Amino acid sequence: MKTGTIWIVMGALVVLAGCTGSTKYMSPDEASDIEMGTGLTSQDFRSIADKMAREMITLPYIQNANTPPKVAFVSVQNNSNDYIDGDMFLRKMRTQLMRFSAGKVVFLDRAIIDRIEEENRSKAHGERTSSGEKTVFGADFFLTGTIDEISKATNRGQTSYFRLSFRLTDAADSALVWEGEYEIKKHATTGWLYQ
Amino acid sequence: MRKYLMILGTCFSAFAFLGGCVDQNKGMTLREAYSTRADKDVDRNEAARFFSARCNDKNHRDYVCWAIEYGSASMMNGNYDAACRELLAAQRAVIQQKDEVAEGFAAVSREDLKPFKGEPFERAMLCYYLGFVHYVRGDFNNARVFFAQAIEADNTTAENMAEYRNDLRLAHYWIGRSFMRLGKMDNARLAFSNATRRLRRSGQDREESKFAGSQVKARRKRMRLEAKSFKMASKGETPVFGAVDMTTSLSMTEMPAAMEGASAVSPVVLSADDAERFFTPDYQDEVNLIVMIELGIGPMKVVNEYGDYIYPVPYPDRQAMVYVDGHQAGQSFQLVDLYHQAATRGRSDKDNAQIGKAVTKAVLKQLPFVSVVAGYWDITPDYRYWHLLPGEVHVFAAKVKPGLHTIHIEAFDVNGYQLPRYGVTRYHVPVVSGQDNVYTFCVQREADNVYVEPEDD
Repeated sequence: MKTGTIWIVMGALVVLAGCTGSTKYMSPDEASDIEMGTGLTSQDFRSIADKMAREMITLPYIQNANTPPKVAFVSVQNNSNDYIDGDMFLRKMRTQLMRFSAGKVVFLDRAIIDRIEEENRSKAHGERTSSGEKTVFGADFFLTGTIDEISKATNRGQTSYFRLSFRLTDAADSALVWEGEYEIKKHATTGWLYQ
Repeated sequence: MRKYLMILGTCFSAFAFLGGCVDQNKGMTLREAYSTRADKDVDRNEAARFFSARCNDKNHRDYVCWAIEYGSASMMNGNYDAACRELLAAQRAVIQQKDEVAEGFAAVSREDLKPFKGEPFERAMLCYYLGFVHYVRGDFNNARVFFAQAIEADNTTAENMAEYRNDLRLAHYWIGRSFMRLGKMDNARLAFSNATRRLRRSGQDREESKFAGSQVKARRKRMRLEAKSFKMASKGETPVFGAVDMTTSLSMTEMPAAMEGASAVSPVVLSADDAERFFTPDYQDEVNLIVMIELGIGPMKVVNEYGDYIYPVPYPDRQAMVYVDGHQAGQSFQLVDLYHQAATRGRSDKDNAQIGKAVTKAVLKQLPFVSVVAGYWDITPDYRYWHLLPGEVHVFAAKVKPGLHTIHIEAFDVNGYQLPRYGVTRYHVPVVSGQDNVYTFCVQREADNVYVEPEDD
């Protein structure tokens, strides 16, 4: 009798366990079941940023520079039909470059420039301590990019071609010193239940 | 005694358990919430709360269904931030939601077991509303992204209606405006030209002439009843204080250039009377007031075992004219007829499979032994649809002097006769110079029928 009860309780627990959701850790390079459609995924994002950072670091403008060139961001132009924050790529590339360039590139944090200027004004007025006068760096290069997409959709599915290009522009004379690109083409089919 | 106590306890537990299954939200019923667009007396806030309470589980198969209704109720309420939040989550769910087990069961039994993702026109409208909110916020590039996705969603129309892919003029108009604001005038020109391209479906002429005929009769009856009603209200035994004569129903051409109580000078600097001029980048670049007018009620879905069918919901308001500070500013232009979009979705593999299921069931029911089991086989098609969609969306755009204005929408029937009870007025509408001032008006019966009693001296 007791054994029977235990089996019933265990059975009920198994059934109930199936009703609950679950969370698991994944590698960022691993595709999950719900990454459907033709949009960019975390794997694409990482591959693109990694490839672009590797290309940039080998540039003579960076490798042979006497003083580390100063790079500022200009927002990435998203011309695709995907809801993407293009600056995410620049932020990832910055992290990669800072990790592997051993100080050969200096990035300028223009996102908080207002706070920096406010801080410097306070220092100049003697409201805050200062470790010597410094001038805010000007950029030697601008890093930006463009995301383009050509996509076609029918009831049976969708095909999307993405071209992501990033470029480094000389801030003094607007000369384009480097441009790298990454192309992706994806096709997703629609299940007949959703046609 | 102990036995009776046990029975009593069991009954109490059962009632307590059943009590938990009953919907405690007594404030509003599903029927009331679904009639938010048709009935001006339904509390839109309450309707939004009603749908919001059902949006908690984003993995539920009905999540998208509730989220789009919530989005509509919030949009009608002017709560664009809340609408955008839920509609974004709904759009993500449309792309990502997947339940292979449920889809497997839905394929062989009742279809609503699968996660709801809507018909092509519903998915397109979901993207349109997202684009619209982003445009109103001034985020033109992301607005362009969503309008482009609306066009892509429209492209998923089935093969036998392939010529109706890319005919969502509403999205083309707004993608044109987005391109214009992004400085891409060539793309804007192309988009505006797509916004003027109207494709007619087979049988549309017959449907329209039949509807126009029915509206002639409906108008006659309406006028007769309005006259009787006014007579009773003004000269009857118990006169109604503040009763207004609603028997005046002018044609669009007879409408006065200025209404009673209009401002001394018209604030409208520039407006377009014909579509040819309206849908040009030059005109669109000049205008600073854009009024989106949502008329009528969206199409409804009816199901039987052989499939789901889309029917138009008959509504009289088919055309609109805009008055600014009491001065006639111009007529609106239709950008989308949701029934047309629904009727041109085409015949998909899913529809064919549904017929297959229905025929198989009918055959099995004739066979001995299995007929009883076949009777219990539930093959109901997906009956879920977007209830709060409008029937049509029109646009009016003009250049207006900056300041606070009174905007009045006058609605007309399909034959161009005024519908006095369908007027909508908004007071103190700001028009700020140097930016697009975008407003949405939902035309509803009796929306303006409010009598405010004068304050006592």
